[in-house]
Amino acid sequence: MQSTLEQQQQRTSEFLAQRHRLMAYLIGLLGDAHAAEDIFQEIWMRLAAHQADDIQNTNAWCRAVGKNLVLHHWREKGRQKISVDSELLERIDQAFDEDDDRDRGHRNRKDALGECVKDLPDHSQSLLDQKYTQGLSFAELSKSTGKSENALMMTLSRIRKKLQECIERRLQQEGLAL
Amino acid sequence: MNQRELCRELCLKLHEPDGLNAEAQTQLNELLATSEGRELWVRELSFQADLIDLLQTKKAMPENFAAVAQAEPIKPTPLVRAPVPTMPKALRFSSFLALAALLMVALFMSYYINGIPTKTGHTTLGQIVSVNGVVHLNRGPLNVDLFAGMMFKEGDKLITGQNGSALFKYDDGSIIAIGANSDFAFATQSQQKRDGWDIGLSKGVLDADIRPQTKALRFKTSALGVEVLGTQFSIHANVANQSVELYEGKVRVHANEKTNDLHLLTPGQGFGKDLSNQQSELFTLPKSDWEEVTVESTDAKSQTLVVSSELGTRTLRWAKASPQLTSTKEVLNLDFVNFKVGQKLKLKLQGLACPQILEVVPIHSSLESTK
Repeated sequence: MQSTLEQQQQRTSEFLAQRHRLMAYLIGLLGDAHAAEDIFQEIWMRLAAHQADDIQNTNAWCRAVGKNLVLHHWREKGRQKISVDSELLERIDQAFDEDDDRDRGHRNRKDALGECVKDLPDHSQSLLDQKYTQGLSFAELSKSTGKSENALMMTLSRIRKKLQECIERRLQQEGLAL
Repeated sequence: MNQRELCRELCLKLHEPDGLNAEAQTQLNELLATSEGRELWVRELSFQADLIDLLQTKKAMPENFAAVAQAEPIKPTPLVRAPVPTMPKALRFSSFLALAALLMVALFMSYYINGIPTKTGHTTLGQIVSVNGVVHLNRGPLNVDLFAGMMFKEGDKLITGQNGSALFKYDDGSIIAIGANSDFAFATQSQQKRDGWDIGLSKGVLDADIRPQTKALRFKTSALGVEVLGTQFSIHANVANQSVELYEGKVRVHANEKTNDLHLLTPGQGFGKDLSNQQSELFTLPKSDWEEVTVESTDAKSQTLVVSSELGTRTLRWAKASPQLTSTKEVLNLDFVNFKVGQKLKLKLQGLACPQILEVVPIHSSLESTK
């Protein structure tokens, strides 16, 4: 029989192993990686305080708690971003529920992504950095680069496409599942 | 535009300050109406989350590690560094405590789960950079496993087990490392000085690298108070004796609050107090000497190495951690430097809980073969 400490450690490991899925869900709702990180940690505090036996599906439980926290976050910010469309939220939940059954080979995909980012030219890496690390909007990028917002969006879209194709190519070459 | 392109475009718009407008929401709703669309959307979001994680990890990687392996070997010198002070016996999470903790959780769970305020209202002070072994965070009635990347708040406490240690960074850039068997309070508003902060170490060991402060900051053990302004030092607190070692800057040590027994330390000095007879003394720190270690693992985000030597297995950190270091999401990345697992290094170290690497050179195989 597992000790309480072992159970806690197993729970922590399982939770962290699913971090990428939960973060994808939260970023998908919030569009803000920093706010998503805060809510991710709040979910952990609540999960750790909850009796494990009560939870049938940890992923779904975490998303449900996460959704409530996102709604609360929106109310706190007094906003707006996505006026809460319940049908849309249900469909997003459904998308992630269905995805729980699929094995994505996430580790392989992320490793491949790391290699693909390294292969990008410096200016593409710089644009990704400004957009996703510094969190600049297209309007802010437009001011600093002198390019139009649409042109920047097109460029970033092409970079993402290139990265996704690169990941698929690498995984296929190594005989790994997409 | 096919569905995949639509996913990509919607994901880009999602990150804009105004988010998705009504038209984009309609497009997303239609996309999610089909099974294929839902799968693509999750895949796109997962890609985006990975990309953000990867870019943030990459940004936090230290640049100063890479030069290390090119350094010339030096002639080995005898190891004379004093052993790390022996810590108290392991912190045991007994079944009684576990039961008590569960009862506490049961009592307060409904408030925390159902009661809506998501934040305690306390200030977020910083972020956990790395965690080794068993480390618990206490926040109000909650007691949870600590992991790298978590934020800590005013009033939070941290307890490390026998082999536990943690490194964390305050928002002002100050870094503290806590060693094994420690009981630590991140910060609370000072009881003595308005606008001041108290940081508590009721037992165990810590290393601190504190940025210049505008408010009074005091580290407190059961027997000593250490006032700091901007400095590097270590504190060791156990039942029998307590001490402070200063490496940079200045600290003022209060050895006895009632008699106003104050000692101003300068770099290279230490102050110790024997609690059995209440005797205290100022002492000079021994100079750092070369120590030979073997790399067990490396962690780019936290800028730490786990090494083994005749003193045992320890976690070490790079001196002057990057100010850009803000979060730790990727735990182990063994390719981040030229350090390799199994590589032998010679180091000069400073500190007790998670010693800083002051200097490092690799021991080349040719050198080893001559030994």
